[in-house]
Amino acid sequence: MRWFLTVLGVIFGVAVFLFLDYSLPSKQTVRITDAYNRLTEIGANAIFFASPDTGTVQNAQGQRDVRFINTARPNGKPYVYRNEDTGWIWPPYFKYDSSNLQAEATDLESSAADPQWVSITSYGWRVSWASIYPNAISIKPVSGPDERPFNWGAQIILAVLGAILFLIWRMWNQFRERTIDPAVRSADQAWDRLDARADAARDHVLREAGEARGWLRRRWDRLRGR
Amino acid sequence: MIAFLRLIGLVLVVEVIFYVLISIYVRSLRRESLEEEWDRRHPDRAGPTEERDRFVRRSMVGFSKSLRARLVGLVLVLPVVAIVVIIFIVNYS
Repeated sequence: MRWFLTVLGVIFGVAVFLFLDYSLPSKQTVRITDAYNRLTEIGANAIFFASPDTGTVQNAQGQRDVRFINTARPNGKPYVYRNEDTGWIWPPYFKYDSSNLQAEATDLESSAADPQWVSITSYGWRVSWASIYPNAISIKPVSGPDERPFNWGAQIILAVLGAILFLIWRMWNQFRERTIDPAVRSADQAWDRLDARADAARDHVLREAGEARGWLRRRWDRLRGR
Repeated sequence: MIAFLRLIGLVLVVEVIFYVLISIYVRSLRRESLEEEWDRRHPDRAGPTEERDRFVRRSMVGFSKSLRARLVGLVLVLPVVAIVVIIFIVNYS
């Protein structure tokens, strides 16, 4: 049983970590090489794209016109972002300026010969075999490939989440201390009282039975003439 | 538009749940400190007695109008402020 709970806890922890890793914002310094849109097949990876009610256009074949931003990282490897509105529920970025963002990205395109480095804030993962792209949130020009702005957004969100967890923990402790424990105590006392009454009743029955037996024996003895 | 209304509904539901839970929590903290106060003032009559209950009940009158109870109302305001700030940061800066 103990190992089962351990495994369950580890799975839960990994799930929480992956969830936060996916939905928290992250920053990366890159160089934009192209910004464009293309028809994209949306299939089993649909949950890694914007939900259908956020102003996306999808044709009858299930293809969607999605904006993309091609970039190159300081180490020369490519990295591709999508640029979609997030809608109003999840993830809660409330982004509705993808057109403006695309315009900015086009403006900041640069070549390897004359690089213009930018810091792109995004959420999500790049999983190439499943055609999953992180969603770009904002673009800010930086002075060089070594400049990495601090990721304030993620730190603040984590701090707020921690504070909420702490509050819930305190609230639960207060509830247990003042509501559950006294209820358990009074139930215990009620049980003890019941127990004592049952003991008394049993004693009473035993005594009565003993007395009845004594009375019978006395009658029997008298009958036998002792 | 429907999505926006859904957001408002969802935020409202979560806020109300937290508002109720936190106001119960704040009341409970206040009651506990009042009980401790009674025990400190009357060490000879400490413990859960009828008298102490009466003292706590009397002292809790008007608690809902105190600053601390009213600050719980921030639970209804802060998430909306946070959403507005996020919208501003993401779309207008």
